[in-house]
Amino acid sequence: MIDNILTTLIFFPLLAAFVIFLFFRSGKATMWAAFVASVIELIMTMPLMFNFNKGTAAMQFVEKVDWIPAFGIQYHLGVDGISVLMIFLTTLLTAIAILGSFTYIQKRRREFYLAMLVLETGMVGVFLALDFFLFYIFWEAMLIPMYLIIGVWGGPRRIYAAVKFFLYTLAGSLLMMLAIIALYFKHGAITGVYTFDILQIASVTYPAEFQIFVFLAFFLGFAIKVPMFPFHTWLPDAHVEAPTAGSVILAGVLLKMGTYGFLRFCLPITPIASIKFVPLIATLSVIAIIYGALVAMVQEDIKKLVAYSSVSHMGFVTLGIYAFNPAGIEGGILQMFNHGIITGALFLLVGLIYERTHTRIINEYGGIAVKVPVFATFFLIFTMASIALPSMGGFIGEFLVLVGSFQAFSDYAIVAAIGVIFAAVYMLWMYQRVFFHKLNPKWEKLLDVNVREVIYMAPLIILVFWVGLYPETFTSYMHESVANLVENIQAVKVALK
Amino acid sequence: MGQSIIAIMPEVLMTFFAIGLLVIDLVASDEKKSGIAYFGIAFILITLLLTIPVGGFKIVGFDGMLVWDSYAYAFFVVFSIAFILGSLGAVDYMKRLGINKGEYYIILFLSIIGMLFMVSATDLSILYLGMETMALSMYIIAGFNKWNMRSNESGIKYFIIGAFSSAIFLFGLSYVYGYTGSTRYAEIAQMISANGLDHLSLKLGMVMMLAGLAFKISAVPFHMWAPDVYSGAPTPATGFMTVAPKAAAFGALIRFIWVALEPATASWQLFFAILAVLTMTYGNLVAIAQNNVKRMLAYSAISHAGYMLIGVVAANDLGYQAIALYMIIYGFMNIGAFTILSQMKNKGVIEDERLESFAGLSKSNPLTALAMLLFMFSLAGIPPLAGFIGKFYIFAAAIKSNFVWLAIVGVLNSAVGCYYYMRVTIFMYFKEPEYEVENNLQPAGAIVTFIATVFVILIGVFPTFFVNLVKNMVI
Repeated sequence: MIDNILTTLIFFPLLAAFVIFLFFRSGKATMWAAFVASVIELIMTMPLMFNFNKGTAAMQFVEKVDWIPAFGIQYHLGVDGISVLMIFLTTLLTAIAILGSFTYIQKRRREFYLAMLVLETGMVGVFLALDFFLFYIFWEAMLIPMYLIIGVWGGPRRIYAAVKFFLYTLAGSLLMMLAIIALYFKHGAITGVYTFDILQIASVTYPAEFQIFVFLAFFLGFAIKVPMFPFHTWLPDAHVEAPTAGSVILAGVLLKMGTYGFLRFCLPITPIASIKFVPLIATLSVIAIIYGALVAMVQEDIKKLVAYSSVSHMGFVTLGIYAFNPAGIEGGILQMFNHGIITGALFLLVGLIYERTHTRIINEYGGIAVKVPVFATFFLIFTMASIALPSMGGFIGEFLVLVGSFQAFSDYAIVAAIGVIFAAVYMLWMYQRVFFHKLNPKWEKLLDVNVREVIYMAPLIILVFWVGLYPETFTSYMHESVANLVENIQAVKVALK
Repeated sequence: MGQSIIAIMPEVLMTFFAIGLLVIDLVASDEKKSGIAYFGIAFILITLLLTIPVGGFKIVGFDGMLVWDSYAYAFFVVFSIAFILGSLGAVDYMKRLGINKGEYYIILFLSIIGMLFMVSATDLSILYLGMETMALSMYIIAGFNKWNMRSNESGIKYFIIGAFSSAIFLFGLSYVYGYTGSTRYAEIAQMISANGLDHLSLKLGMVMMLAGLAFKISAVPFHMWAPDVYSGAPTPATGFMTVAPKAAAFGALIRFIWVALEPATASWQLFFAILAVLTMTYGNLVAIAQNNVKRMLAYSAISHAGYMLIGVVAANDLGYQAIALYMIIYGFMNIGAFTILSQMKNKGVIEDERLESFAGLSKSNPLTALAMLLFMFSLAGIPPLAGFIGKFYIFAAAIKSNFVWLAIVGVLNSAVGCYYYMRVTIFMYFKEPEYEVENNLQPAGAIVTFIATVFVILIGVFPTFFVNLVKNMVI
């Protein structure tokens, strides 16, 4: 199994969905079967994590088969230090999101869990594909189940949110498709080999003007996904309207694909353009950090607040990546991981309380800490993690990003640091209004978390402290890959001077 | 002489089989008319097997009037797909409307003979004959539901405008003949490369001929017949008409401009680039406003013609391969969608084409809704479905020829176009039904839907077989 572990990881959820579709008729059975499948998938990620060779920047567990030879398209998979954590994050969050939906999803349960499994195939595929064509297929195919998850099981404005999410992402990725085709022909013209192989395409230096065209097309696709300011307007709608599991996956995994795209494609393939556009990206990142935080501050809906906080936190990731130094990029990747855990957990907690109260408006709460002490503790942990309290995951990520960006462009780093303070303001203020003050008599009979909810929160709590106290476990995966990436781009930088 | 017979063999075989179908029609009782569709399918499959071109196959017949080659064969595959799915998908519909007559399937079958002449013609007179054979059959098919006013209107409208466009084509042809002294593609090309294109009558003739062909592929501004004809014709017939005749017109157009107008490539590239932009944009923008699914698909057919025109503009080998592949894929997804549409009905209404009729379909008929969802996303060009492969190929052709701006217009159009396909899925999945939906696919319709779904997924994931089919084409 270890030989084809990546293929197994990609297609196991799809296969599971198909088997479940054929043999399980009731919603309840499907629900459990899907959960078991997602846990098996998570367990299958473990051999990948343990057998991963941390001493090399090369692709590992590579699988390569001709797929459409007429166009040099291969079924090419591999994992390196940049993607390995994302795989773990994806399988973990999918299992948790499925478990977290057991009572939340009441209608058409069967279809919901099948959609989740199909979605997982797409997400894992995106992080593992090393062929542009394959990558693009997973990248887009994933939109269909997500569109259905938002549109069928979402809130009151779900149709608007689903369509907006779909069209926004599609518009960005279509231009990316043109850039991919252009790269294919350019690479063919330079080397004589026509291939969609990402590694081969990245091994050639392209003319600066061409790089700028490709970069801009990629940038649009990824910036919409991250989302960077000013392409973020789909995010609050999609996050707020999506069911809890949808929000968790959106925030936890889908947003990471944008930043992953920057790391995997923009930096290696278009280094000259990347260097040229640093001021633009750093500016947009800083705007996202400050703007996201300010808008989060005035939100009345907890879920919307968490959604805008995502914009702010993802700003740190892009800022770190474009610092082009090990601290910045490692911080960025770690922050991707952290943000997945923390924001995922916050969305789960918001969904959990919403199931009991059917409201997310901050002012309708108040003083519930006395009624739901365990829930309040959970929420406090992730509030603190989100505002980057030392000893928690968020701190390490943001700290590394700030260190890295301070070396590269100190002005931006100073403004970004202010964003950390804002985060404390909006998160703590929200926490205070929801959990403290006088108890709103409406919530006299509010029930605390049950065993199932503790089970799915527990791994997230463990991870958030683990990253905070001993980040080396996670950063050790990326050292080599990041060092290699930094080395290459610094060499281009020196050559440009 | 022997070679000429082989070159024309597909048409000869098809004609024999058509006569066979007429005979079967005589002996078949009224309830058994569907059998003609099944026989037709068997006959076309036999012809398809007997005429497979082997390795670089190219047979020139009748002193260069027509050829049978892998290029014509690829288009024959498109016609066969359209016929098989289109006639099988029509069976239930025709029965329900009480017009299940043998002629329907026979005329569809005959129209394919005309189409075969069109794509294998290397002489303008053969091209014209093929075009008329096809067009006359299509006029009858469009008006086949003779008790329905819209179908009548469709037939008449198609006939008048079609005749008009044929006349323009013929008039242009006379100019070209007058100037070059020949109707053979190769000789026209020789004349043009020797004497240039700088002659008013030649230019006028060319433009009129290209306009005549543009009518057949419903390119804007020669499209005005399409929405009414497509939405008036019996639904399964529309599915067929948006695929096969269009493929034939594309096949003929490409061979004509590729061979005869090869020396003047740059000038017709501009002509078709303008048509492509207009066609895509117009089709997509108007389709958004439609609340009738059939009419929406009619405008979508116009926009797809626009995408395929990008392949014409590219004027490289990828371009015409892309068009043939796109037509194959379009055949599966579009006829699949029309088959499902043709079976929408509810109390008192035998044909329900409104968008609202799809509301809640995912609950009452989950599998039908899933198939329709796949067709819609495939038409929108979302991977891993077949439609994406077609679009990808088209855009690759454009970029290869440095028509990046056209590719950008194309993808922006795809994004816009995605919206109206999504509207169908919104109704099927996100909305509650307003009334009891009835869409119990009848056996034949279910088979068509199943075949189309399988191919839409299969070509999307493993396109190699069809990619090789079009890669082997030589003109």
